[in-house]
Amino acid sequence: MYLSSTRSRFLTFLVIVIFHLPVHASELADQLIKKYESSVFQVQLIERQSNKKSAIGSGFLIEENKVITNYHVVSSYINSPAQYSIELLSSSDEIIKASLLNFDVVNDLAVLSLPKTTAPKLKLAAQTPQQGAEIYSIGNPHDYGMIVVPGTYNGVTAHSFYQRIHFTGSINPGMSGGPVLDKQGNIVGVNVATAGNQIGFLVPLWHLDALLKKPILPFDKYNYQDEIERQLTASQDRLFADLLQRDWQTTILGQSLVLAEIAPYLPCWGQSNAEQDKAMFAVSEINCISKEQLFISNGMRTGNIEVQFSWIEKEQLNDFQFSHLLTQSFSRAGPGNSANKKNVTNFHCYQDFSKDLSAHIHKSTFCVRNYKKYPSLYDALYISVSANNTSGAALMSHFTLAGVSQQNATAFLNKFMESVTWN
Amino acid sequence: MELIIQQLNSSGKVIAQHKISKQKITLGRAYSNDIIIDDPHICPHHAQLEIEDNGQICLVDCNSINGIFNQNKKPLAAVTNLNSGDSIYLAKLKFRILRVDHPVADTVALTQSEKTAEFISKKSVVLLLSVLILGLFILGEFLKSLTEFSAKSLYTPIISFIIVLLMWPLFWSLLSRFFKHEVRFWAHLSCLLISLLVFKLILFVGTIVSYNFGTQTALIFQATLSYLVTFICLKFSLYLFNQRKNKRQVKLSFIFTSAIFALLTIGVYVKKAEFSALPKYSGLILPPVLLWHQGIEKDDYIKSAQQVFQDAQQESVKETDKSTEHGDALEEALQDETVSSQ
Repeated sequence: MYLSSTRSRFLTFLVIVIFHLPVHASELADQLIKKYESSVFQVQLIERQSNKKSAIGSGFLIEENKVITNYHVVSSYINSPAQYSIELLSSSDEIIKASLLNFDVVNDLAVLSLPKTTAPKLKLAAQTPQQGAEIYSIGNPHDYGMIVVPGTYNGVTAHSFYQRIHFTGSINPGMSGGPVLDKQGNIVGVNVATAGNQIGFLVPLWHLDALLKKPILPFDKYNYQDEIERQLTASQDRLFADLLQRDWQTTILGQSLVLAEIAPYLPCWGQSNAEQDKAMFAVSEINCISKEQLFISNGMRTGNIEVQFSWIEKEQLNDFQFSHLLTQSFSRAGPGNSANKKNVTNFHCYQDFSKDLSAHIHKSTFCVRNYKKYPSLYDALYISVSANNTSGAALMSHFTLAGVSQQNATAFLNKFMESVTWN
Repeated sequence: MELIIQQLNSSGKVIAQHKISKQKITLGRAYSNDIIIDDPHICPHHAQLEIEDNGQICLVDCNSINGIFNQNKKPLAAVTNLNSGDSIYLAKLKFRILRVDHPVADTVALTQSEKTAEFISKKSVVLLLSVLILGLFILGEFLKSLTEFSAKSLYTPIISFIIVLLMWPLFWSLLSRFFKHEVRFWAHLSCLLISLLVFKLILFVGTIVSYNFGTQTALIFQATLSYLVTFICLKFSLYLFNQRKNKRQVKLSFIFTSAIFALLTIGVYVKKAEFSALPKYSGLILPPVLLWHQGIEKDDYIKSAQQVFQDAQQESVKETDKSTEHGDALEEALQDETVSSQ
């Protein structure tokens, strides 16, 4: 009875939505695109050799000579300014040359400058919308022409450190950098990414505001890399200051004490092989992985963290088989972020047996690779497995940190090693 | 007066010898000859050997079609004097003529190697070694299996393993056959099996050393011993092949062993990628019984670990130096452009 009544109410709601909203939304969307069509541009990255566009995105006019887009849209230019140039395509198919004025690699924003135009400029909203508010994303998906997508403002995404707005609506490649407007036509965010199925992400208003207020740096044209390094270093300092000052809670895994969720932006998941019928051994795992990565260039992501624990019991295996199993698991550590030869060195590893507070001996490996363009930053990786426990079980603990300074990586390693013990 | 007439094959080995006591010894294809030679190029009455009163040996060509030659294949006159030990050719066939008092080579004493060869050729020894190596193979597979162990799954690996093992003695047997030496299949097989067992032992000890004292020490230990074992195995196989012991054998074994190790080293070097996104470290874990290391304190571990930051940065700096030339060119191109756009 209760169920059916709920369902009927739900149905009514659905009908109302279908009946009313589209008309209202499409009218408003239509007005918005008409009004601001000339303020939104297609941003084109021109490859100089072929003189053809190699990447596209969207951008919008914020001052009479400033256009906002995403960092990742113009990242090819920032990483090799000699090879690319930036052009804007207006709604009247006019091509305007633009240059880079400022950028924020962590929040994926870039400010371009162009000759003064008379097109109406967009204004930042005075305050952030309510959750559930209707908002409108504008952009040029797949080069099919400028469109408007109505959707819902759903606040800052859960489990995030870098902060993105969760937008319920379709954002597609090519729309990156396009504005998201409220009903009044004020900017509430910037299109940046999608997770598919109507889950879109926007750069929040306040990050855009902060970037616009930042003094424009007198860039040496060839030295964008120094600025990226400065921004990444500051960002990882913020992240690790927050992580390291937290009280790391522990949780029991098998007979060991391991880390529970050490920060909300490092959500943990668990799994085990208990459901496998023929398993000769038992494994239970805790994986805590940050969902966000920072885009640096096509060949490189950074900024993410992984923490992982496995408790392995030998059950039906003998000592040699068990150590073979551990060898296999211990050999498989890899970085959590992708990076290529152009951007990072090989990993350099240090390996030794270490003693924990409960006098258990672990075989521990610590590896780092240096960022070739940002010499103060590293990817660090640690994997450790208990090696002297005769009771037939082993603890494997592992973490990876991407884009971290030597000081922060060392501090993290220290806190990690003293937190993980046997019960 | 007696004469020895030896027929030799092309590599100089005696394939038949006759001892004949006659004043005149006839050689040819006809059945009336003292020495009957079944070869289409030999005439029915090809040549004859005569011993003169003063004891001189004399070779006479009986108007043969294909003639007689000295050991350098130069044609000989119709009548030629020979000394004991001279080689001659009748048509294509090689012969050697000797007096009974011709000196023979010194007797070769049976060496320790020969005794060893005899011992390891024994069927019981071969069987024992085979059982040992197969047993170790099966044990290894068992200790590596992480699912329920079934003997059935071992069928293919064991058969392939046996086939690979048999390659070695087969190779030597064929070689011996070709050079008309003694074959000694079982001795070669035993030699291989013993070497493999020693390799296994070296590997086992090396693994424990590497686990406790670091890969570098273990690698040197393993490489040195493996080199030695390979050298001994090759040298013994060469002995089994021609049953002689000489400097040439030592030299050959040395060259082959060095070549094998050089190829292996180059192989590792060639395979080593310039860049890998995955870290390279030893993932080896052994049972607690084989761990002797006491473990170091956390703070010491972290202190020592700092070195990797410098190492990584050094690699980065080295590569930047290498690419500087390229970078300069890029900058110049950029400046040119700025000028032209003005």
